[in-house]
Amino acid sequence: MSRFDASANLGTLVLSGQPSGLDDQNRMPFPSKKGAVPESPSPRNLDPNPMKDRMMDRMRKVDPKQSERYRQRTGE
Amino acid sequence: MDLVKAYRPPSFGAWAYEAEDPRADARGFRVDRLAQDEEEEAFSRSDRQRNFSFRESKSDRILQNGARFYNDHTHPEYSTPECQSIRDLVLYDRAGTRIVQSAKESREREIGGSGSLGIYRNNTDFHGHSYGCHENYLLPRSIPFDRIVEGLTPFLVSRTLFLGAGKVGQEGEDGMRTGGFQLSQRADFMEERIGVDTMHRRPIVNSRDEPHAAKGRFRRLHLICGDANMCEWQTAMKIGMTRLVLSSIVNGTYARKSLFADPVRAFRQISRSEDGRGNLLLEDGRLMTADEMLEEYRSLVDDQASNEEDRWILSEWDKALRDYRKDPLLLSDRVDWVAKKNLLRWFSEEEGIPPGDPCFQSLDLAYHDLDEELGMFWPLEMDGSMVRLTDPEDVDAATVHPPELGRPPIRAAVLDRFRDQIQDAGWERVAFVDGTSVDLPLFSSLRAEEVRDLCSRIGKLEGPSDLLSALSEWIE
Repeated sequence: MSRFDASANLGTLVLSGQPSGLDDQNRMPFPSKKGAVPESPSPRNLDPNPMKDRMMDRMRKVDPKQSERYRQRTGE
Repeated sequence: MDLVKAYRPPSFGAWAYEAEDPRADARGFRVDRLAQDEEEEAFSRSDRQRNFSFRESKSDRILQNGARFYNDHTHPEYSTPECQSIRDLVLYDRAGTRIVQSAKESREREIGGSGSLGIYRNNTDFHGHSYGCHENYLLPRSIPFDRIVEGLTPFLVSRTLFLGAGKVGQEGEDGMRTGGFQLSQRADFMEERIGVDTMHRRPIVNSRDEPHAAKGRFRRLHLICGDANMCEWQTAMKIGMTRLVLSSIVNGTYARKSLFADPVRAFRQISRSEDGRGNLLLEDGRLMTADEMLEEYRSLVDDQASNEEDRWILSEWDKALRDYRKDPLLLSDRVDWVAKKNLLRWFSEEEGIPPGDPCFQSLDLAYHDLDEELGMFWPLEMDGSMVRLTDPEDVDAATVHPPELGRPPIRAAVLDRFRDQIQDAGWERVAFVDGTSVDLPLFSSLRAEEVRDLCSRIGKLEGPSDLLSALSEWIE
């Protein structure tokens, strides 16, 4: 299995301004109830730095033991 | 149980369990026992000591929007109403997320502890217990089940590349690990190519034969191998790509090409390899990668697009293949496993924590938290770093109104008109206390205005016997 720091070809996050699939101006819009939507459904790809800070803050608040405590019955 | 009951809006609460038959196998037989029977019986014995009935435990509710919401083995399960378009399916799936979150908040108010409950839209507890995200496709019964299985299996395995939710660690019968990252949450739990079981010896193609429609004409393909996705793009592509492949099988245009030598093994190889790369052994001895298999299926369905939605799916399929081959990172605006992997790598680098640390399974879990203030997916979507396809106002409406087309609005009208006279109801059958019962047809040929007219007529009927005559035109 992969380690998420092991891939040489991964580069850096889209969130930190590296390659992204957001730049395709010819992308077909997702069909809406009223017909084709005028705006592309593509993400806006906002300034990455505040986003990075926000995500890091949120990740730091996660209880590192949460998955050890979490239990479910098998189900379908 | 209490969480399901805590959901406030009105609903109908007597589900027709008698109409269910999970032991009927689409291969033409019925099994005496399921692999999960022993565990189910142990759960039942345990639950009986808690002083509530089976019906109380299940807490089944048919919601205003036509969905089913209930307690399944102590987790809340939401089933969308039957949908005739990908747009509706994505919309009612998103409405379900909002409904479950609303039930959670309501339950927290009851117990006086905001934030005291956690609900995760995922498929694993990281301790070897899994629960599914099920897909259901209505197909003509005239299509042999074996043909569906053969045509679909390589696609179901390889679609993981675009549809995986990502998972830290490994579970399943071949070992437990807390470290490492794989594409799929469910691959560890798939053990058979085909089978009727769903909780043990899980199959890539489930053979349960329970059509919830006229059995002589239809079958319901019930798939349990897919992940529960956070990103709407993946939900749309999951249903849309699979629908196109099924269309080619149903239309007879599917031509057998490449088959994996061992689909179960291939499923895990794709999931566990770096970015889903790696050669997979085919039945004829050749090697093929997952993206090559997806490209082969893409060419097979090229002539299957029958509407604007299908054309959107094909266009996105092409773009995703191009982007993946250029750099998998380009999919981070659409694909959960890519986005999650990047966030975890980020955290590892910034905090200096090695990837094998068990804390990463907690971060994985947090990605799937339904709470918008806590979950790691939501800021990505809200700030535009991941695709959203639905309009929030449409989602609001979809929590209380059924889809415009098909059986859900008719069923809702029947439940609304005869609520006090109904003994129980399911997807298809409505049974009345006077002994009358009606099997609702699919109404798939009715236009929206015709559905509205019929619902209006149902609202004015005198009694259940009038319902039979009102629907006689569509009942076979």
